[in-house]
Amino acid sequence: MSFYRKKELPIAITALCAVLAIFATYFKVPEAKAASTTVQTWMLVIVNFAVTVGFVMVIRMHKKRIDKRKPGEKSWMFSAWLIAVLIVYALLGIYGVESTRTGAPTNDPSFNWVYNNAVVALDSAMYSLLAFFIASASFRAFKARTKEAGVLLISAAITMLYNAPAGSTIFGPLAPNFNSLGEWILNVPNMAGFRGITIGAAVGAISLGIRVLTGRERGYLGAGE
Amino acid sequence: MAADLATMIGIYVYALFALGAYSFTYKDNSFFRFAEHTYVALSISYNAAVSYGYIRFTAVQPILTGKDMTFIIPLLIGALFIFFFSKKYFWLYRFPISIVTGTGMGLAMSGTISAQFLDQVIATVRMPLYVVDKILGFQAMDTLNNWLILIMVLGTLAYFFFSIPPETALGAATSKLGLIGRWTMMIAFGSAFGNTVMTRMNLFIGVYKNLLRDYTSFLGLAALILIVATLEGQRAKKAEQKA
Amino acid sequence: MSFWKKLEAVDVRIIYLILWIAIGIPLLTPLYLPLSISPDTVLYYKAIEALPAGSVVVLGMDVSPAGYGGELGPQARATTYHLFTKPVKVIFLSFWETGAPLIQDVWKNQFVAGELKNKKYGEDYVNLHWIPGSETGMAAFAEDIWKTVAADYKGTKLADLPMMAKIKSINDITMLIVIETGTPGGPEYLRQWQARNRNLKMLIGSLGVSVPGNIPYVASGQYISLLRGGRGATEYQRILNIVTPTDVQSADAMTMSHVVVLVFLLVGNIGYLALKGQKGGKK
Repeated sequence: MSFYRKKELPIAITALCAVLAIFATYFKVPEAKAASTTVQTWMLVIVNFAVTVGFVMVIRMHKKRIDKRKPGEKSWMFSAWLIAVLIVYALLGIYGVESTRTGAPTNDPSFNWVYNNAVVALDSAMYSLLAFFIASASFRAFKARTKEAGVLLISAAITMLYNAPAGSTIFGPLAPNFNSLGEWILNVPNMAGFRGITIGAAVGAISLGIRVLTGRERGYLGAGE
Repeated sequence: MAADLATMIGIYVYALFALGAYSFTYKDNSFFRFAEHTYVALSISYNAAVSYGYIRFTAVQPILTGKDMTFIIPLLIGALFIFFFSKKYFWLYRFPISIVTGTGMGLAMSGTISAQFLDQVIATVRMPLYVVDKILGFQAMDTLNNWLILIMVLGTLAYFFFSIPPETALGAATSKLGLIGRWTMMIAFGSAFGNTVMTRMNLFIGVYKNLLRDYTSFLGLAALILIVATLEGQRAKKAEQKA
Repeated sequence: MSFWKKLEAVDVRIIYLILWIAIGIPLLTPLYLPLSISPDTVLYYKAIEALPAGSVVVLGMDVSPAGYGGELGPQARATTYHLFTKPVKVIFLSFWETGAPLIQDVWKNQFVAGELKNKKYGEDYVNLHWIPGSETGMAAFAEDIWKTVAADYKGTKLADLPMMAKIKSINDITMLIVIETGTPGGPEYLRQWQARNRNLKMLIGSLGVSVPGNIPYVASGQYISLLRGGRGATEYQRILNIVTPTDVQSADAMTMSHVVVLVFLLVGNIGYLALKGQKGGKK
């Protein structure tokens, strides 16, 4: 296989870009800073092309479902609807960009209307489904089976009462003391636990970075040689 | 007039999609699948439109006006992403990915060392272990808290140390410290769960408030979806029994 | 079947219905439940109050529509209103493509719109819309704003925005207020902005779910303070005296939802212990 087709060249490019970024951060060399800033500005353009991969992939996947449909099945209609909406809204966005002569398609009233009434509704509703699942999990799954689970449960209950705007009022005159307890849990054990996790995660991120730079981690390059 | 009509239709569209998504909690049904597929389509096409807008006016416009021809380079490199779908030329796809990964990784690493490692370690080490206020004198609670934080942070870090054999003296000490870390994390995760409940409930409250803008759309569409979902469920049950 | 076994086997849709009803009641009629103010929110308020005249503040609207509709919208609107009552210059931007259009929604708020009448676009505030690239975009912006951002949300070049004349890099910014849903968010700004300008003051308005992870940064002084999700937003509105009946309803609904979840937790665990006792008794 030719050298430029193998993974070693992209790995070398990865390492070069990373070393340039790190060097420009820690050393005051104007030429390195200028080169790093240029690469970063170019990267902002390059990264926007990545959405085409997702766009084409979704169309291919749903077209396959339409092609493989069986008689009497209706699920293919949802795939057809998806592809139609995908193409129409993307074209509306492109029209919005060109007609308003700005980089923001939401400057076009039609595109913005769909964003405010459909995208916002769907995004909010899909994520808020978790509220129902948390409620049912609290009843069915969250049981103090062990001492650790019991401690977790008590900590959660105190935090919930602390977070609820009127949660501490059930304690009457002891409400300020309860609020102090809630603040203590947040600022002492919670802070300490998450600080330890943050430091550990930082060490993990740095070691992963070194693995990627030295070519030991190649998953991001995809399958094949 | 047109604006009022657009607003009214918007309220119904909002209610249709929100209630369609929520109908999953009752039964899997066509409204939910319609909402789900629309969500996927709109999310991707929105991102595509916004990305197009950025490329068009940040990279293409300077080339067309002759102000900055160097943007041809990132445009050509970015176009290589399309070779993801080619078996023969897949290797071309690796070039933009390597630039994106390398630059991002380099910037993240250089920032992580200071912001998330050094600053956190320094903050822990710099905590006074004997707190004295100039006016009020010795502060017992603050002193105790600082000692607790130090022990708990060390305990949490020790919990994740798997490379020291527990049979050795150091290993045994690390295990005991790790036990303190385990209990610390239980309290921390309990606090995290409590805060998660607040976020999820507020997400739902936000949508619920919008649904209550207009009772006709809310109740009318809710009734329609419940009826359709129930009928679909009954039909599916009959089909299962026949089979 | 015993009572506890029947309760354990209850249809999950009844739990969902209880949630709908419990949250619906305060949304229909506000209950005006009391509220205390936490020290974090007071510190957040004081940090903005203490901004000297002429300070340059960046408000990062790094939000998703879901986060904005829930907890971050009230935070963003209250923070924007507070900033507009001060003689400071505000740069709105977002590293989330879904957050950029919501900047204009913040301006439509009745209190913010009232203050906007005293402000001039381009001289007192600008909207630089969406900047792509996540953390790399943040780094590029910190190094050279004019090279990273071609124009504002309406396509106006930076050269035609008077307030941007002297703002070239992160060193020209006094304070950053991040209203964040997730990644990219606070930690990314810390890594790319505060690491470059150690004098950069940072405040953060976060979702409740992110609060535990953000507290270490508050404790270390990297963030001055934070708003704790929906609770923080409610408290901040009270301090600023910009509470509407809808906000009161949201706060009451928040309380009711937490009470419902706590009751479910309690009943679920009592049932578990009762069943465990019954099984132990039978043995």
